[in-house]
Amino acid sequence: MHSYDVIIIGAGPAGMHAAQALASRGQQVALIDDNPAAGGQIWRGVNNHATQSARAALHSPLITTYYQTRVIATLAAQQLLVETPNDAHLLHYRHLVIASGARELLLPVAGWTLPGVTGIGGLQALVKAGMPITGKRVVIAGTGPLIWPVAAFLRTHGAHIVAIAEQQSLPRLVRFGLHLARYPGKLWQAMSYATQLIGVPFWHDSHVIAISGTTHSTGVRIQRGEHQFQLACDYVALGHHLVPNLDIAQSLGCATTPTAITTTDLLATTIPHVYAIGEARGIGGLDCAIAEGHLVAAVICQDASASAQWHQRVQTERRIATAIAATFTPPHLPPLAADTIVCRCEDVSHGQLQHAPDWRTAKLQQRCGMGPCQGRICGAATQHLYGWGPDAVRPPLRPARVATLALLHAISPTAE
Amino acid sequence: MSQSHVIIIGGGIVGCACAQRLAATGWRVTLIERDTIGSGATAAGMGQIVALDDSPAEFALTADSQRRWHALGQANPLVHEYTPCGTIWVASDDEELAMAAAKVPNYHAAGLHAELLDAAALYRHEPNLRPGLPGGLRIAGDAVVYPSRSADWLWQQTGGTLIHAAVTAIHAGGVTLADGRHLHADAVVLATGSRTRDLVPALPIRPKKGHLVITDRYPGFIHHQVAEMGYVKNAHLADVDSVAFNVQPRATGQILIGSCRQYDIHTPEVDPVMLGQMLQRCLEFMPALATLSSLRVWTGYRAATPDGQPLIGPHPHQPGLWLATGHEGLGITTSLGTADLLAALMNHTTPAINPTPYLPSRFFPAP
Repeated sequence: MHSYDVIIIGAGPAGMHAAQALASRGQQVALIDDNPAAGGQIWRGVNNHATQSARAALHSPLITTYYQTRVIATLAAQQLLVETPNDAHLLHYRHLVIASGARELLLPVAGWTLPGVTGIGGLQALVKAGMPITGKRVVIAGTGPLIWPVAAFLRTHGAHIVAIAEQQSLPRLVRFGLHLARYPGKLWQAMSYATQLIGVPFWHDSHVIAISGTTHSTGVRIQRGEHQFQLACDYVALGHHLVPNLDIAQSLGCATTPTAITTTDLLATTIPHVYAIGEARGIGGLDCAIAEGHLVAAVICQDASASAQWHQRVQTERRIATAIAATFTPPHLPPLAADTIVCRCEDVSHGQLQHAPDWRTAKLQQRCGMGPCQGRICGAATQHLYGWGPDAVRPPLRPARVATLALLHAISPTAE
Repeated sequence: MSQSHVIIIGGGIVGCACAQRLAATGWRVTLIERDTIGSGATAAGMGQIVALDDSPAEFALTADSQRRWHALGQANPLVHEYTPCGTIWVASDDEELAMAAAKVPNYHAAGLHAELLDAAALYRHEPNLRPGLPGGLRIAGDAVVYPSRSADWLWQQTGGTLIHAAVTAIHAGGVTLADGRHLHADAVVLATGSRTRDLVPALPIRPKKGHLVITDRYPGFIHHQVAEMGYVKNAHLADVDSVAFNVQPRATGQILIGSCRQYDIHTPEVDPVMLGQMLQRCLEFMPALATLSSLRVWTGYRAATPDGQPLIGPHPHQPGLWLATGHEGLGITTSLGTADLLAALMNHTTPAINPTPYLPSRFFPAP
């Protein structure tokens, strides 16, 4: 068994900065991430100075990186079972930092399972991974602050942005803009996106009714107020803001709300030795994540002056997070047709689910949420559509090889 | 004459099967289920239909039930996901192979298929077993079903009334619900499995916890339900924690991996050490399982009795109370045979098999 002063789950901006700040104070750190490299899911490869230097600092001999590594189980006596592509390990920590980030909320609409329909962050990730987008017609629809940077990114990579359809109302978006204007850095960022998106049609109060196509998306139907439009396009990037990844925290027994891991101002969860930072504490964006990475390191190392300084910074960033949460509220969905697929792993349609009394019955009778994604996509969707509550979290937290779970026969259930 | 009214407590597969038989023989049925139909041990188990000859009583009930499932499954295979995959009991040494050989005549005498497999035949059927095994026993009439849906389907056949509530007391002529309501009936059937003692504490039923793992889809990885011969020795009779190799192909192509048994554990959480031991045992028999992707692990409770046989029949001291509980790990299989027995006893007709070994009175000293 490998033992570390601090294990950080998630190598996005929050986790990277925490690792760097902890190592600079002499802590032995393990940094775990599902992806092949550090950088995070949503802001993947943001190339600002802070992110670059944090990435460079990960080469410290005090930091062990576990990439393409999934946390499979949280165990007694401060142990984790993790799985790498070829192996599995039991890791022990003195302190655990959950920087598990967020994922996009994808809500079903007619045609959403067609190839060519992706998440908003998902399309950005595909393009960053090399998918050609030059000259392709893209409609970006849904809600959330992710729409703007991704639209700007896609446009600079040669995409033709046919339109941006945001579900929120104009007054609400204006209020959010006015709030951002209090922070010069954010205003500057917003203006830079706006400049990059000059000439792109932007529609508020708009939502997707249906995506058309037979083997690939070829168009999208949008409702705007009383009117409907049909737009031809090659890709539809659809997203309904972000939901934090809470399952690791829940598996440890940490208190959570539907939108965040519950913590103190100094990032401690309700379980001793366990901290939460970044989007998992509530969607707050890049700068908030970075500040919390620094703060958690100062807290763990009992560095009072650095704690005070970063705490101040975090408080400011969290005010923006509050504005984000108030603006991009859960969307109002158009009524679904009975044949719209809700659970794509098991091909379960809205018609099969709408009369089910609860999530448990839907799972038992229709297998909704029982496929490889284990409800990570349709669980959020059924919560919105039918108000069904989430499940208790059990290991394996992610699909794991049988041999990985068999390793548990040898663990000591109570102590090292 | 007005229709007699029966209240069945517990909407698992046993309660639903009893409801279906009683409705079919003229009873008006009310089912009381505190959660959703088929959500307890029915959902937690493997959904295996097996004829087991480890005792005459067990053999009579499982063989009768296996035939009933065959008829039900053939008539409506999609509802039940009835897959007649058969079982292979794997012998790990020559002694177990001799045990397997001794079983063949029993099955044949009961009119069931059974076939002794030598090593070559064993690997022809299931090439993913570890090398060096001497053979096994193949029971072709065994099958796999999707029990929660079967339970719901059985209930749908009754035209009865479903009440979602918890029962707090059973009394002469009816039951009391948690909200204080009294419901009256001519008979009450208790089919609450491992929770039986919540309502009738004197019954000799202990919960036996199990864990199961389900994998992603690997069609063709195994073709039969495959279990070790030692399963019954290791699992059913032992009074201590035990694990046994038992894997099953689901209609979806997924593999269900079991099994383990723990007495007197009342928390539903996954026990990592027990899970690890169970999978380690399975890897010893089928090393190729190692790289399969496990999607989910869950636990459930079997209702175990001291002699391994269920309680089917009248409660000896509470007139009007009938029991259909204590089916341990065989409740999916034996639900249909149980329903026939119970309905025959309640209707004063002749059951298909001798009810004596399952009568609850065996645990109550004669006055």
